[in-house]
Amino acid sequence: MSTVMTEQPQVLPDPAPGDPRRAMVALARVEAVRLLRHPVTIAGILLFVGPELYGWLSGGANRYPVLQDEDRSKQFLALLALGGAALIAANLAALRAHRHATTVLYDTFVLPQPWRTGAFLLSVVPFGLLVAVLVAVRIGLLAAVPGAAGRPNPYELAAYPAAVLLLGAAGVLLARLVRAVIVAPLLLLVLAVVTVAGLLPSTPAAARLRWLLPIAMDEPPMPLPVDLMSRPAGWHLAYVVGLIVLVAAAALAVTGARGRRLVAAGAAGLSITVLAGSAQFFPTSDAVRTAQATAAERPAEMQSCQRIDQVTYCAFDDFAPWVGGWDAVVRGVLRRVPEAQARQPLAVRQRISTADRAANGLVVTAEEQAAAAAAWRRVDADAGTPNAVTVGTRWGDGESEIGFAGLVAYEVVARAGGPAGGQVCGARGVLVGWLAGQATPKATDGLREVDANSWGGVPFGEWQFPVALSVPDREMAVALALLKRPADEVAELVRRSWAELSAAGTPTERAGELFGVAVAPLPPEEERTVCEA
Amino acid sequence: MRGVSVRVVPRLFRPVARAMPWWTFLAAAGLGLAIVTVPAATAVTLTGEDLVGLLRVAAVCGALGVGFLLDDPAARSIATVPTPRPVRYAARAGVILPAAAVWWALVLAVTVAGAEDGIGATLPLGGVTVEAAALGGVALAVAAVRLRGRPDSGGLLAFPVLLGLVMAARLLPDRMALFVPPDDTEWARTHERWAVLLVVAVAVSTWASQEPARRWTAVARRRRSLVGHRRS
Repeated sequence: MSTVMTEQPQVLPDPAPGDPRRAMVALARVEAVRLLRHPVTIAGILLFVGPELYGWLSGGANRYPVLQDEDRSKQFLALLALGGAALIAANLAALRAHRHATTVLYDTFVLPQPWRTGAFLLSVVPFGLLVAVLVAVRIGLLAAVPGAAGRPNPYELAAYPAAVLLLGAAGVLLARLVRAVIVAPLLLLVLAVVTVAGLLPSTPAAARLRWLLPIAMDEPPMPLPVDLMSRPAGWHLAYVVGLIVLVAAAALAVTGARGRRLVAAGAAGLSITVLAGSAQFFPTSDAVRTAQATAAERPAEMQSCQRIDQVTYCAFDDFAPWVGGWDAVVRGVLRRVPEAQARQPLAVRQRISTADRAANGLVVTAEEQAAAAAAWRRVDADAGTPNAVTVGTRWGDGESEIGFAGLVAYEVVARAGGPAGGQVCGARGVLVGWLAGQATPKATDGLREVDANSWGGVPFGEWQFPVALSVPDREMAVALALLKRPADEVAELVRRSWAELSAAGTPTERAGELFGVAVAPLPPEEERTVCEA
Repeated sequence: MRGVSVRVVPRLFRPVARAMPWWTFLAAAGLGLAIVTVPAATAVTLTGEDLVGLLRVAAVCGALGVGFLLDDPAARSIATVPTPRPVRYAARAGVILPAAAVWWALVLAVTVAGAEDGIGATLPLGGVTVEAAALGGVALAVAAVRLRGRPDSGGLLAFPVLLGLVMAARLLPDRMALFVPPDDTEWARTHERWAVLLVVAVAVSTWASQEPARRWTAVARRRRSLVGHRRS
């Protein structure tokens, strides 16, 4: 009898007298609960949520998140942990009958095979909804942080559940194509490798490849204000939705579903995939490109300024909540300098860089950098904020704080406008290093971190900007020794000898003498760095 | 009896090799090999860190495949044969280890040969091999533990555990890191951790290859307690 059933399932009378939809929904409900309770799903959720929770509980999370970056920052992790869980759990569920050798028995059930496949496809939806809730809660919590900048892109947020649904549907399709559980994890590994390969500049057509994957990763040089973003997130979401429809239709077709509606769904999925997939490659609109160029070259036109005492802060509107954080660093530097210096007006201007100099393989010569820094100084003077200190669009980590603190300290010491990446030697270098390092506790940590990862000298300022400086190790050693002493005691000495310490020609030895710190002898002639400032 | 059984091991190689689900391993190992071959065969220039990353993915592929190699559709029916489980597993290990070693050597050779700008000579092959061995060891250990309880498929548990382990290892904070770039100062220390993982995996595999007697003791205990109840 079983032979008859297996070989000629079509000739059996339809055992479902009513609407198979109800049975499908009932099965989908059971399978959805099983999928949500599957150990792989729980492990995936823990892997996604765990690091975030750890960051918040251990105090390592950034208190100044950029929401237009945070919305997509966990997409790769979500693809592997949550998407991977959906892929594997849905695949295992769809293969359960095969694994338990009960496929033949299922033919006696009221629900025909294509409808059962439909139930497996539907069972991924609640997990997708759960992922949407997780992502919404995460971005909601980030947005509630007082230092949150910008706003998230709903399309980027929707890409998380979309990737989960796509991979879940792919798990069902794979189960119907290959009856082996090994295929799903291998597909996940391939996805991981190809997604990372899309980031490598040496991969052929990497820029196109990354937008054809479930999630599109890219690494812009630095966060941009929302209005300058050029990621085609909406088109990419439409592309992934098209893929979901296509994969689901393929899974149904493979299990024997036929009919006009399925063909229509498949055709719709294919057209959405092709159209939205191609639309992703439309060049960035002229308006956005013009805005990007304006923001990079003449930021004053797009910024609002606010004054706190004698310091003017000009920022892109998205980043206005950061002014308090910048002010803490500026005050940290100013409280250690003589009253007359501290009371002088100071300006801070936020800058962005849209060109990734390292990725494009461009080498910037010292002359080019000096010219660019001079141009920035001219723009600042025209905007009414001469000698403005530059701050970027990253904040909240030690590295950004120490970079900014270094530039603030240099401006307070030299009052000469942004430096063009040169070495600041002598007593000035020591003073800049100490003033910056003691500005805030985070700046102190940042200085240690940057010092550990640099050779020859400690750089201050974002490397994408022409405005930066560096203090050689010899001067930095004195500054680090001073940082170990009580700050008030050093500040007293600094105030007393300000004129001498801040003068360009004062040698490091003199600073060592004033502070009572031993100074290392000068390195041999050929190892010395060229001091510019 | 044990002496006789151990002498049986070499004779078991052929039948055991024929009974093993090779195609699962070959699919996984083939993908691992392809992952290193594609960039090696094309003009893509990769750094040492990228190449080590690819070797790691290939190692995960191999470990996924190895996890299925203890599976035996006839497990239920051969539980009663005089050749005990440790001997049967020893025979399998005698087939698995050379096969995996040959495959890994091939992966390394392709990676080194395909590396541009003399990077191949600078790759820390020993360290990556310890990682690959530890991953393979974990896969075998988890599979063996699963097969003690249910003689269906060891790989079914081994592959999610392995993927979860690798993903969790990537998310570990720096001071506990397992995956570090080749030029990292912590390279040697992290590989001590990998070596410990390998030793633990081998120990668990050895333990799990013993025939589970748990069920019988549990039954006996239950009987004893029943008798005790009756007496009281």
